[in-house]
Amino acid sequence: MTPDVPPLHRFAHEAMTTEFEVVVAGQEETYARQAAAAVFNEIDRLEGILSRFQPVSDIAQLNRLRPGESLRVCLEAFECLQLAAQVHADTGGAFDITVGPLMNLMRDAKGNWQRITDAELAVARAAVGMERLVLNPQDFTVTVRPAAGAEPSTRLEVDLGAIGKGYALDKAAELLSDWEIPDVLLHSGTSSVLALGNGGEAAGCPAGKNGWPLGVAGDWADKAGFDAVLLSGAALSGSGTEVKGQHVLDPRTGRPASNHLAAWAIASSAALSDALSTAFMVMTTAEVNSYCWSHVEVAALVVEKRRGLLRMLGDKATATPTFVARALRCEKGSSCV
Amino acid sequence: MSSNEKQNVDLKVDRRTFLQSAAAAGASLALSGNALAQAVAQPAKPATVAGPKGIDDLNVGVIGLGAQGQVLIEAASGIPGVKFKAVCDIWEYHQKLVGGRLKKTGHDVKLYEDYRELLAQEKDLDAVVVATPDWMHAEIANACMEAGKHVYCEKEMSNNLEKARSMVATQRKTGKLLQIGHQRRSNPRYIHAIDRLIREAKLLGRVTHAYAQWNRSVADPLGWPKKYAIEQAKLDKYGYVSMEQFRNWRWYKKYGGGPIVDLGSHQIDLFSWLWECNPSAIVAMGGADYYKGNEWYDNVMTIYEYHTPEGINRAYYQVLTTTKRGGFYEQFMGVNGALTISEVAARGDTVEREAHAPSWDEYAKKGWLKPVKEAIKPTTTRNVAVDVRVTAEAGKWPLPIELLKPAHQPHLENFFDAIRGRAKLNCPGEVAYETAVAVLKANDAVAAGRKMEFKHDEFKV
Repeated sequence: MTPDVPPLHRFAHEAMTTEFEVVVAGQEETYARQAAAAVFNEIDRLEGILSRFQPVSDIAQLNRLRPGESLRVCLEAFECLQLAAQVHADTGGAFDITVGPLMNLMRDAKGNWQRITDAELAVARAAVGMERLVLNPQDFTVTVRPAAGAEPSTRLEVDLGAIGKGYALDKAAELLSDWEIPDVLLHSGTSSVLALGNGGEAAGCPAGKNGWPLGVAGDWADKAGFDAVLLSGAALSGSGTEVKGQHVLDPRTGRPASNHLAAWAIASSAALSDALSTAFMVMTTAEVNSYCWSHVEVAALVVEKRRGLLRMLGDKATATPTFVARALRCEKGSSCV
Repeated sequence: MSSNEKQNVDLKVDRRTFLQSAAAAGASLALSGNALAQAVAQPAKPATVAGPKGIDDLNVGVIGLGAQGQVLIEAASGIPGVKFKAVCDIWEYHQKLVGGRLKKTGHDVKLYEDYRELLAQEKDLDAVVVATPDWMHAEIANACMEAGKHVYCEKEMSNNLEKARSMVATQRKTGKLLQIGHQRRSNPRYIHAIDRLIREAKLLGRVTHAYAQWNRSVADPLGWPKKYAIEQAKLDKYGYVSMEQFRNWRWYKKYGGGPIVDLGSHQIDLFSWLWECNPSAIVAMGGADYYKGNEWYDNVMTIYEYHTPEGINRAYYQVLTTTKRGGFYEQFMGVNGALTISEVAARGDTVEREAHAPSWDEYAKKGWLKPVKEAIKPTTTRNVAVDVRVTAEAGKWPLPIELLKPAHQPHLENFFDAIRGRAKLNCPGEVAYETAVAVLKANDAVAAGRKMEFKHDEFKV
């Protein structure tokens, strides 16, 4: 990098059990720092509303409702729940923010999957499910329906872990537009990234192009044929089995997901890409493709473990054309983010 | 062809139609609307925040929409019957942020820049929440009460005691309710700890000492989005020297009382609740030592002396703004045990028993404490005078009450219930005035560099 390239300013902050980072291009340092502080305040505020771990958050209060009871929640909680319901419906139930109790049932204290019988599973599945959540946009109340076929007092456990961090990035971006900072990258522990404007040469953006290069495809870069994408005005989220072990459950079967080793989603908002990267882990490659056909603003890259004879060819990476269209090949030692 | 692949092909056909309709009428909305219909049921009950006023409904205005105003609005949003009708801030940016959120959640709310305009226009308000910088509290709260509104005003009542006294006087003259925002006074955890365990059950014996602190990490001055900078003429009109001072008013003597007032006031207020008396004397040290250009002390350490019927008790308080070590909590230390509590329960929520104290089992049985195993049991099996081993550690007994709503909500509920005639205010103006006298003296004591006495009638209006 030449010395006269304007530097990026990077600011980090711990929230939502991860580290958020704001990377600002083309701004004076003090102004960028103040804007980042405003962003981190906003993320902390959102954590207070969305985190199920904070006992007074809207979500924690929601999780204490008895079936039949309602709670008026604030705008931000409602918007997350609404988007979660939409992704649930659009993916045929492959995304579900209420399946936490199933995960707990299936994993022992050390996080290893354990065998449970179909009968046990049927009982547990009866108690969860998005259809138990009734959202009323008229007065921003949420009602928990009794679970059909389960103990009538069973509460619901909503967990926005696969959508809240992305949502926080979207809200942060709104705030940064007030601050007139157009060229900025935000991420939540690298699992979701929102890239706005142009990172420029300092961010490793190829000459003559516009955006932020983001590393993608992980260990499967050779299979995918690229190891980065160039993003501007869009969000990228990744989900995989390599960080926390096999941690995704298919809400449609109640069993651990086995379709993909890793999945990346590009969408117009970080909340959506966050949710979709989780959903794409459990959907088949065909289902992912079909989702992207009907949602033109969404692009996907998934890695599947091949079975049978094809196994000797190794894992297979499949990207939608819109994903490939953004692909970059970063040389070793170059400055892809 | 698997069913999934078939579906894929079908969708490719659909996509052409989809794109055509998308061009015509925003098809992604049509799709998502359809999807949402499955999850969104018919309204369980009619809209409550914007419809006609019910018997328990209260029309509420908020003046001052900064960080604290936003916290109060969020805390009040969960209270049934609260209808926000008007919000006011001299900063257009905060009007836009807060007004936008309220409108999106169905509140039929009007935006104002000048509180006088709000009071002139809004004749149907029952109550006003005041969360401006401290120096404007008295003027605004007084005008609201004169206009017939009940007032919830943030602490500190004022950075000037004469102005704080005028609020109590106006309250008496108008008969309106004046609740001051020492929200721990309505927190069921604090009420249980202080009123029930310490004062009623005398669990700790005589509480000879108290300790409290609020420590925060180093922080930069607050900035503002360039395009929302307030023009100088408007800043002049409302009495702010500059945009920098407007955003960072807490550090300037004209507008606020500094960290000892912003943070310490909440906790020093507990000492007089605990001992049922006001302090008699204070020593304090502190200074504007770390941040350049700030007027107020960025660290204050103070000792208050309380002359109680039991004897002299003392309380130590510190506020630091350059380290978050230990965070914020309060500790009440008696001859039989110590109670540690914090507004965030994870930071303090236990009572420790001294080994010589009378048994607490009866309180555990009554549910006033959570039962725990004592850390060390007396040895009964061996015929020895003393069983020599590691130092006996006192048992830690968790408090039995959880607060499952935002910390400010019970205090607002208390205020709204008082308006409905169903409760007595937990922190009326007279009580908060006594706290203001105690807290503002800490700054005087730092400046004077010597022990200062309180006169008994200093606390009365």
